[in-house]
Amino acid sequence: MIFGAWHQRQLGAIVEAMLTDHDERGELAPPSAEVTRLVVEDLSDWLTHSQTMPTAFKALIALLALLPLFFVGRLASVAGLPLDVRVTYLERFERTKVGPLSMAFIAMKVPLVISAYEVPENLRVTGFDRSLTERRRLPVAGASR
Amino acid sequence: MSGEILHGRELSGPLEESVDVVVVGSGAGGAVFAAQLAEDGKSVLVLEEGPHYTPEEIRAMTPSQVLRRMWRDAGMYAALGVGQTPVISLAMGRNVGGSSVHTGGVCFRIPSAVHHDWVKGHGLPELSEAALEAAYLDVERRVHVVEVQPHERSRSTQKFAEGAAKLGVEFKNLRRNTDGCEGNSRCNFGCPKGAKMSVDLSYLPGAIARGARLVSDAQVERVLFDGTRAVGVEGWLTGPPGHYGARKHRFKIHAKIVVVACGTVHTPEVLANSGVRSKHLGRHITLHPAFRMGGLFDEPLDPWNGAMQSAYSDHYEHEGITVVGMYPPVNVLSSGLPGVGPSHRAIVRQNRSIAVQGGMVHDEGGGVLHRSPLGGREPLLTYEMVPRDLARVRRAITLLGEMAFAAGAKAVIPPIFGLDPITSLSALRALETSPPDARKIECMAFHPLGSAKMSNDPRRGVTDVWGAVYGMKGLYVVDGSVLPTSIGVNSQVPIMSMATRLAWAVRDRWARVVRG
Repeated sequence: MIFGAWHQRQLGAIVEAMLTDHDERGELAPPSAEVTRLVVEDLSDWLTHSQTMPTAFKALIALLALLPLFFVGRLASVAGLPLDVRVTYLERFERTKVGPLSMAFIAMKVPLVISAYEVPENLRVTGFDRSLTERRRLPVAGASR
Repeated sequence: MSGEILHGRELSGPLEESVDVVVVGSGAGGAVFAAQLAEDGKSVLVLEEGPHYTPEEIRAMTPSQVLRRMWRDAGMYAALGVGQTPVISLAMGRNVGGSSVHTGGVCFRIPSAVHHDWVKGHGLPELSEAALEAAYLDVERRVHVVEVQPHERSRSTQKFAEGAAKLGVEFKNLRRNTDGCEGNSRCNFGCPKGAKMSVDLSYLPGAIARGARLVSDAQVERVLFDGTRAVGVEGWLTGPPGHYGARKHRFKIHAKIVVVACGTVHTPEVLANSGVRSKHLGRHITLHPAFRMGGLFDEPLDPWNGAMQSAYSDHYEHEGITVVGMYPPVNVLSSGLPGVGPSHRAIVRQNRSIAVQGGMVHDEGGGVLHRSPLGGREPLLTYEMVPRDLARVRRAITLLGEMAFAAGAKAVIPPIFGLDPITSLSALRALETSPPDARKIECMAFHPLGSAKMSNDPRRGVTDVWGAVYGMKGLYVVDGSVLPTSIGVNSQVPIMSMATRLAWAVRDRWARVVRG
């Protein structure tokens, strides 16, 4: 794990918010702790393959962790925010008109989502009909539909 | 005599060899050059910085595993935008076969207008269309270029083609280097069928059968010289841990000629480390900035079934825009969809009904390489998009959105970070007339070119028209870095054809080349 405890906690909070859904009652439903842990560990592994990104990614985590005051008016790190406020905070961060901040958010979001949607229970949400390494099931000529 | 592929990370000690030709890089330029010279009976050694994976190993990887193991900087390399320029994510392979393993297979020749510009505007008659004809034919035969048939199109591409037709824009069939494509739509991340004829499957096996040897995990530091004559290369064999690995053992290869084919972003570093000096080295880099547009339809399209890239339109060529079909793996596409938490989940759930189309801009060349302030193997690339090119990007976003609406999309998903799907033409067009910050545009590039460009004048380029580095003997550059300008189309066949032409020239002048 390339992240220290603080970075792990902040990243875990971001992952959890990113993958939160609505349940059947319309309440916020976070992913399981296991899924969050898997994604954090996988991102750590991914970054060990990069020469430039470990440092940059830690800086991104710190940036996202420390700016809630400016987007949702809370003097807390992202891990200290309740889930609903965390989701709102990250949505506002993504929508900011300040180009460089928006880019910073995407630099975090892209690998996070790519990694997260390789977890089978997330991949199923997309409607994709096979595993990501599986070949397409080709239609058989003459088969009835 | 048969050669072999050696895994540098498995070698237990230093390596020293003497050969006729040492080729640094095993991608579209290096592999082709190596194969041509091996077929001519020369002893050839190819050094590849990245690892070697077999097709079976690649097929078993998920998209993110391909990114982290086989793409430069684990898939996170990007050109940093200067001023009103997006950050441009740059896809480059770092493996045996180089970026050819990660293309969508699209095969274009260099457009006639570009050839004409090189001949008339740059005074390079050696680069005319007629002069490259034989090389084009040779490459297209070897990599099995075939036309994608309409029935191979995904419904994603069909939707955009239908919309384009309603607007009077024709989609044409792309040509690709495939043999038995079954439409898994993940070419950029390793073909699960092994149907894409990248150079690791088309050129390198033949080269090895003719005695060429290839060493992976071999990072060249510099070219060795005797006076001004290149006489070999030296560097490090690398090994675990990590993708880049630690330095394990030295290697030194003695050769009659040295061919540098590390690609546009890395060739300048090897040349600069070797004492090559030119004000053009590492500058004038063009990228073909590219982007995707999503169209959200009412019905399921299962857009992942079909060729990843199957059709294109050159209708807007006069505006410097090429429309090229594409569809990325669903998790990669999801990473660019807007929203966080439930809002992101809601749109991810609609992936079955999202069609995607790509656009690409024929750019002017604002890329400059710098040594990385963080050290390591990856240079820093800055890129300043000229206003004309930024306008082209915005124009292309509008055009693609109009196609999606014409096809019946209920909303379009522009490549702009954090922007909700757009449900009206007027709102789409407003993006062009009142555009958001350019740095919010999601942009990527696959064709970096031009960092060691050819010229017939040493004051205007790094190499002559035969790829020979000015001021040195026996040192050649054979990759996309030598192309004099942006070409506006996918670059693998142009690079392979240029490498073929340069290899034939070296072959035909061998006695002079090694004596010179």
